[in-house]
Order: sequence, then structure tokens, then C-alpha cells
Amino acid sequence: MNLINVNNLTYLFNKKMIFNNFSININEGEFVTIAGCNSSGKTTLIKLLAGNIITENIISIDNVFINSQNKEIIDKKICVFSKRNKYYSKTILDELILEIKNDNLENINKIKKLLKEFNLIDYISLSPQVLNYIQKQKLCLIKAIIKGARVLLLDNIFNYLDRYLKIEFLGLLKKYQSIYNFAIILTTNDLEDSIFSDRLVIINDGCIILDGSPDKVFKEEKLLKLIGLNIPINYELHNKLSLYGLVKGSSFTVEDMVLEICK
Amino acid sequence: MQIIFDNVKYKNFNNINFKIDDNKITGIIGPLGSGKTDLSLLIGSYLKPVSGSIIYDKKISYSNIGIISNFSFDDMLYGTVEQFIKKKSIEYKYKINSINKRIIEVLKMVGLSESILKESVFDISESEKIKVILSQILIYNPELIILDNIIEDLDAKSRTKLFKLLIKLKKFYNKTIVITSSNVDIIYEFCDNLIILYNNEILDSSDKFKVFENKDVLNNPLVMKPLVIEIKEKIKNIKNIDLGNNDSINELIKAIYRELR
Repeated sequence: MNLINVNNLTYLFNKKMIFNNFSININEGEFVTIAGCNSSGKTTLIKLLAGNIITENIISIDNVFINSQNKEIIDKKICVFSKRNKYYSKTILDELILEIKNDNLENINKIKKLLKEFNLIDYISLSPQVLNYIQKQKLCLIKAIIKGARVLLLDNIFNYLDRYLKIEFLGLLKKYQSIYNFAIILTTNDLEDSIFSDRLVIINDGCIILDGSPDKVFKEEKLLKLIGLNIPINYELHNKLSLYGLVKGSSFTVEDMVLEICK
Repeated sequence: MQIIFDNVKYKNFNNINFKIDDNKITGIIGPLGSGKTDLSLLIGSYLKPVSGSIIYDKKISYSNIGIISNFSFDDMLYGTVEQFIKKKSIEYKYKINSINKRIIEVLKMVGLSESILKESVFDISESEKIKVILSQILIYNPELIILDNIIEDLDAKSRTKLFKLLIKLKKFYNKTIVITSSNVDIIYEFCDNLIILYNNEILDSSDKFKVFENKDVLNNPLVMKPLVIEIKEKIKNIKNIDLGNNDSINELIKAIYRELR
């Protein structure tokens, strides 16, 4: 089912055209990565989808149009993850109660259960400031779950993580997505972040250039390179090895490639 | 500029010893929370050690060290990009008469168009901010340049461009460059020396090829290894062939072709 609808969006900033007749549809429970080089409009798109920049009846989320009247309804449906998530509450419990605005026992137990699942229960009465980067992102995920967000918007949050942490956190997102069926929209300039997503959209100068499953998009290596993006390093290696006839299989994992080289 | 850490103690760092070579690009790699930022601020003498000493072979002052980190963005408080780029040079009493010509040169080097000078510092994107801060640094021309967690924010094209620029600065202007990152593959490809950091401990620091010959580093499952090294080691285990030192995918493929065909 269609969850997000962007219809012919045109957006100017400082007389510069960021989006020109941009349209995209995102389904319920879909995991979409939006990739593009620097200043291609990724963060602006997140701001537009989150309603931080108000547009009039162009973008709809869960059948509600974003406009100046609907701001509060939209706020409940989305949750934005950013590199500098800001938390102002005194304790983590307060921060989470603030999202549901109701501190009855049932809700508190729900919060405690979630904190336990994320290994954050020890921090419950501490300030959110003591958390490290990945814990802060986990807290944001808990926030999204308890307020029942339909869309998670992740603005380039994996930059500082190494591959192991990245895969761990993406796995966590996938797991909770299958339970709560929210849509995830992730922006990035590193195509490696898209390996777990169902769909990869490449934007450049405010237009969609490629749209499809990650495997399909990675085939367009030349085009991606032209706009300034590199395909994940193991895909690049696979492509180059098959060019020289060193591997013939279609597996992209390091183990399989090494075994084939050594045959 | 050569920098020697002699039994330095700071916060979670306990008696660390290492050396940063003059006229080299040194990469500091480690996962999130391993102490990369603290270490880079210690190197830039923005933090002072509790005990031990950091020895520089040249006189140091703020005008001789350029650092880009997450804190640099806090300086962007007002004004246009042009004012921001000139700010530090004026503070450090750099010769002003030729500055306008230099700004244009530097913008070309980092890959920004001149039209950005008139824009407000709030209206430019995150990656443009990085390039603007880099231009500010290049204009006052310090000898030591530190990039803390910056390369991840750039796309592949700008990143390659930045590294080409850094290599140029090293070769022709005798700069010493320190880069911290969690992206091992890129650091391994472009840096000369590596410092492996884990949990506020330095596992090894030396030439990049030597670091990954160290068995303690190689066999430590917690240390992220570059893909090139992983493949090299796996081939070595199966076929007992040493592919030599390769720092990029292209080099590795050449070696595989040479040795296995």
C-alpha cells in the first residue's frame, strides 16, 4: 500500500533549483535508500518529508497532506534520525514519556521492556547526554516505536560507523521493521549502506536517475562513477575480477570470490 | 613537523607512545568511541596531557596547526563564506594584500565555485561547509593539518579529490597530515602511516604495510581490516602464495593475475 506520495515537487532555495518536478512513491514497510553525491538534495528531501520545510499539499504521508494545518498529525507519523540528535529531557525515561504524553503504568512498562531489548535499561534514570553515538540512535529508534511512527527518516547517520557497527544497526532496523511494519528512508553518499534495503534510488541535481533493487543499480557502475558515487568495494572487486576472467560466479562475498580465485 | 608522544596520559589514554613522521600522511583508524577525536585534539595541542609530554620538532602555535573536526562547525556563527574564510588569516596577521587572489586559487583546489563566497554560512550544505573550513585552513597555511572524521561526509568523487590535494600538499609544500576515520579501506589506500586504535589503546603504529604484517593486529578479530588485506590473507592461507604489498583493488588484481595465472 502506498504510504508516501510526492507529486511534482518543485523547490527553490536561494533562487537555486533544488527539486524540479520531483515525484516518488514509497510503500508501507519498504526500506528505501536514497543516495546521491554531496549537495544533491538528500537532506533537503528529508526536511521536506519531515515537514520541517512546509509545502502545501504536494507531499502526503499515510493519506495526510503536509501543509501548515496538519503539522501535528504529520509529526506523529514520522521520526527523524540525524547525526546530531538533540535530547533536552533530564532523563531517558522523561524523554520517552514526552513522546506519548501519557505516563500510566502500562506505558512505562512498555518503555522499560523496550529499553531492556536495546540494552539501555541501566541508563533509564540518566541523562540522554551520557549515551554514545550508537546508543543515541537506538534511543531514537525506541522513540519511533513507542509513538508508532509510520516512517523513519534516517539522514546520513551511518557515516561515522565502521562496517561491523553499520551492519549491526541495519540488522536491528530490519528486525523491528518486520515487527512494526514502518517504512524506512535512508539517505547516504556511501552505497554500502544500501545493501539491506529493498530499493535504492539515486538522485542527482534533484532528479531520480536510477531506481531499483541495489543489485540492479550497482550494475550501472559507470553512470554512478560519473555522478561521483562508488559502488560497494566488494562489488567493485567482483566486477574487476570478472572483467579479467578471474571469477565467473555471481557471488559478491569475499569468501566465495577467494575460493574461486584459488581454484 | 615531527611529533613524538612520550608516555602521554589523558583521560582514558594510559601512557601512550608513538611517533608521527614529518612530511607524511598518517591515518588513525579505530571504531566509534575508540578515542580518535581525543587523540587528534592531543596531536593538535588543543588538549594538554595530564602527564607525559608531546614533543614537536618545530615551534607550535595556533597559526601553525589547522584542524577540521565536528567542533569547527561551531565557528560558523555569522556572516558570509568570504568573511569566514578570511577570519583566521586576519587573526593570525597573514599578509592581506594578496588574499583575494589566494582565495580564488584555494577554492579551485578544494572544488568550490566562486559564487559561494557571497552566500551566508547557514545556507550551504554540510559537505560545502567542510570544503569552506578546509579553504580557511589552506589560506593561513599551517604546517600540520588534522582532519578528524571528515572524509566520511564526502562523496567518493570529492573524497578522491581531497586526497589528491592532500598528497599534493605533502609532496610540494612539506605538510604533515593526520586523518582519523573509521573507514579502513580508504585510509589504507591513501595514507603512508597508520595508527591502529582500539579502546583508547594503540595496538600498532608504523608504515601501513608493516602494521598489517603485525600478527597481533592481523589476528585480532576486533580490528577492522581493509578488504585488500582480508583477501590477501585468505589467499595466503589456501594457496600459500604471498601477493606482496597492494594498497588498492587495482594493485591487488594485478598481483592476483601475475601470481595465479
